[in-house]
Amino acid sequence: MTRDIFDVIDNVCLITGASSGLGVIMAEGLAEAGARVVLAARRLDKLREVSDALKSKGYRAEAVKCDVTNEMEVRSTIESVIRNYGSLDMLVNNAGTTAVSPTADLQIEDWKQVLDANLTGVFLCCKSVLRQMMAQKRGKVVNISSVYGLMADISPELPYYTSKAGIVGLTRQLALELASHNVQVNAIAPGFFPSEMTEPIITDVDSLAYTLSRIPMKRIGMPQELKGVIRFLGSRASDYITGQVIVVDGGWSLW
Amino acid sequence: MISGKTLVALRKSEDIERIISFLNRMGQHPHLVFTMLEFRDIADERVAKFSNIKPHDHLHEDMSGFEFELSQIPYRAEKTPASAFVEEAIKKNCDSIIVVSSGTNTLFRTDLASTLAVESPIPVLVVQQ
Repeated sequence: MTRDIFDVIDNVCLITGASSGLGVIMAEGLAEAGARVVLAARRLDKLREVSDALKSKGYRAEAVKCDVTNEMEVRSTIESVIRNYGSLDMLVNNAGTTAVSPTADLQIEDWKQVLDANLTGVFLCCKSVLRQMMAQKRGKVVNISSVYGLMADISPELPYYTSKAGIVGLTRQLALELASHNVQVNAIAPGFFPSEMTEPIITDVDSLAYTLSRIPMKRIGMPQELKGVIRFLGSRASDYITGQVIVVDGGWSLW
Repeated sequence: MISGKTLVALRKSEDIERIISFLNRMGQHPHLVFTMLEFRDIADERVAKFSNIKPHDHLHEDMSGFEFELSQIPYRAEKTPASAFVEEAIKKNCDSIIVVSSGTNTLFRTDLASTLAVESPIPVLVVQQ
């Protein structure tokens, strides 16, 4: 029997920012489809809760503490994954943060913190997996951008918008560089999903009313609605797609 | 004249004081249905935790002269907040809806009050901040 083109069974997938929010859901989506998932984040206690929950359902998961802004830590995490599993088939760069402030009041420390986590962290993780993926002659890199990487909005989060737009540029350029090595680099741009970051907006009725007024489907995304796209981008079904941004936003960015 | 039964669409507990004060000033005493959204099942706790405020925790105002009841709408953000309040108002046979305008979302002027005014087939009274 031939393998299904959407199959990710036994693939080794490293997901950063997997201790909460959409990282949890994407890890779960890949694990449910048979992948071996390595969950990385700074908060090891929360990561272990996630990996224990996955393991209790019979899935294969491991928690690894990793701060994506620390090059040494990133490198050693990725080396240990390759040593333990023998390969690294997929990297999901999901770790991220934000700083909400009118730009005139924005502190340079907040700017740097967001850019370091959201953009430099993606660069460091990509850099650390590329030699392995080129040697394997296959690999999938999925960078989590945002609709805010494609458009502006009224929430004053300049470093977040900038970093997510930067991820789009990084994705395109890296995809071009790696195309001949059979390594596909793509991005997902989620719209409005529940997470620790969006909880204050969802529970503020006025902010939510504004947000939903911008979304043609008139609802926020349900976390499980990201599972299909992450599996697709991790599978052979996406082998001829690279450098693209897949927007999952209920139509938010259409107008 | 605000008569009959009125759904009070609460954005936050502070709205209670503002609306009671407004109605007292206007000498109007309709039957009030204080209603809040209850954020439930939006995501499991591994993704994000959602805290809820209950209206009965915040009824410190002098409510004398008013008949009222409390209501919470289980809400999963799969529809607009305005449509959730409108559905509740229709279900409870309310004659009108009262809401406080946020007055803060200055760029597009879109908030619960403005979306209620657009979506509701029931008269909406907007109390300015």
